[in-house]
Amino acid sequence: METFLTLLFSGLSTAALYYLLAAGLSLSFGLLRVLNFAHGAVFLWGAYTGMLVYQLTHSLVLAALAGTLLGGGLGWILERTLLRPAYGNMVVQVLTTLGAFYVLSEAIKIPFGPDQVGVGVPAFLRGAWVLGGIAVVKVNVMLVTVGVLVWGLGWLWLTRTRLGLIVRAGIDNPEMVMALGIPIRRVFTAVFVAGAAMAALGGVLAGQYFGALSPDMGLQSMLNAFIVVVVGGLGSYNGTAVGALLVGLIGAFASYYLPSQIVGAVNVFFMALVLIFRPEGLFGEKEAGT
Amino acid sequence: MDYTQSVTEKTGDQASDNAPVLVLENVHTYVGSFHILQGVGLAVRRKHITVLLGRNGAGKTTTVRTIMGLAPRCTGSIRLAGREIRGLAPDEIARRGVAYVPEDAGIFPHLTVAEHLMLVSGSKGGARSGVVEEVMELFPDLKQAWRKRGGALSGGQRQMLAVARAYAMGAGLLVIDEPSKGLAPVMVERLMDSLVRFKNYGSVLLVEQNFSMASRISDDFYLIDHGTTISHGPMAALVGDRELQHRYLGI
Repeated sequence: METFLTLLFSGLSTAALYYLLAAGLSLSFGLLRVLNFAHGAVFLWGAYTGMLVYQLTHSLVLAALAGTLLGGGLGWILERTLLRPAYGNMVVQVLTTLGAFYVLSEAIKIPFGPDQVGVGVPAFLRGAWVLGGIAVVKVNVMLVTVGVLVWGLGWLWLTRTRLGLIVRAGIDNPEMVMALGIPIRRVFTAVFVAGAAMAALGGVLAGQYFGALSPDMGLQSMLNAFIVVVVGGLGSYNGTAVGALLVGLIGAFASYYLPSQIVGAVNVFFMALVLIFRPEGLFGEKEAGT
Repeated sequence: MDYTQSVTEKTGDQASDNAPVLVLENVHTYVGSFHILQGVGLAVRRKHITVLLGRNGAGKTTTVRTIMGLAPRCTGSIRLAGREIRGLAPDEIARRGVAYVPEDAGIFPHLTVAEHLMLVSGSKGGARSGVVEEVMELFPDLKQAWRKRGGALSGGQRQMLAVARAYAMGAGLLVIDEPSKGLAPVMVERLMDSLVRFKNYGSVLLVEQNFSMASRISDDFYLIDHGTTISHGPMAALVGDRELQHRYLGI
């Protein structure tokens, strides 16, 4: 029972990380129909920025703020320079964002080197509480708390604000939103930047979770984000949350019960299984004509 | 007869109350390498219902999409209240007072009826207080479905919501594409009533294949075939011209 609960909580914290990474990606695709392969690089730059700012200030709040702002800024630059000229052209989007991913992933090695670097963790987050024989890791509690908060704020924003209403309408039919007199292209930028900021915040928290960073984390994180988005359904906000939960929990249990050589394939296998029965994802919508 | 010349003659003084609210002159639209519209002209008179008729594939939907700035490439002139709008973005055209209802009504499946109206009540012309309540009084069927999502509405309710949305936008011109398609006769009647009521507020450009409906509510007609305007005039004239109906509408 203790093992089960420990794994459950570990899975929930991983799910929170995946959610932060994937939510922006899902909304960007749902609204903009944009495949952003540079998303993992934003996560990476957020992680390293958080690590550096924490080293300098010993404040996790400032580190999170810095990482989030940098992620948002990077997202703004990517949207204006790479994506905006290529709206509607998926091939160009894939190629340019993939190129940006590789450039940014290599560029991080210039200041920080190619090797793994340690991340400072505040004293109040070190260790674990022991509750009824179960070790509840403090960093995991923080991750789950932030993940739930961000999900909740995002849900309120989507359902209670005018901008959120426009985003929801745009996910259904962006052309019709324009035909109603709403300049949806401006909303594209805002959503893309918000998604990038969330990914960067995920990077800062990933540094706390893993205790170390390396330049290849960007690729792994991007793959996991895509699995979550595909499982949950492109463009579905709550679908992404459910997808993150499933992928996080499956990964946690697989890591404990299965040989390490096949753990990496488990989530990919799960995604394939979902796609066989629901090609549009668990909460996705079928495209017209399919 | 040079049709485009006759359209120009109709425009006259743009500032007068009799000036058409919308004029198309010699409009050509290209989709890829296909030359879809090959010189369409029409004029929509103020507070009138003008119907655009023609067979499947004649270019009716392409015409309305061209008006709304949704066509990839076009030439010619499209003037709204005397001002050229060809080349403007769709949202700019809509903000100038054009409400567009596509063939599928353009309803958002995940938004409720209330949210559809709230979406446009923050747009141009819709900031009047109580505009949503006003619109609900005009559409009692929708009042009952206030909290229903667009995806759960019937075909008739979707079309009514699309027209109600045009009211809420405060649009001066409603451009609506085949609204009666697939609707039960009782819903067609209600839809017709809502379009006739819209004349009190603005003008209507209606694309229809349902000649019976169109002939009962329209004031003017334009007939297009192979992307060109073939004939136009008062609807009463078309109702009496069986040969034209048979040749171009298959009636």
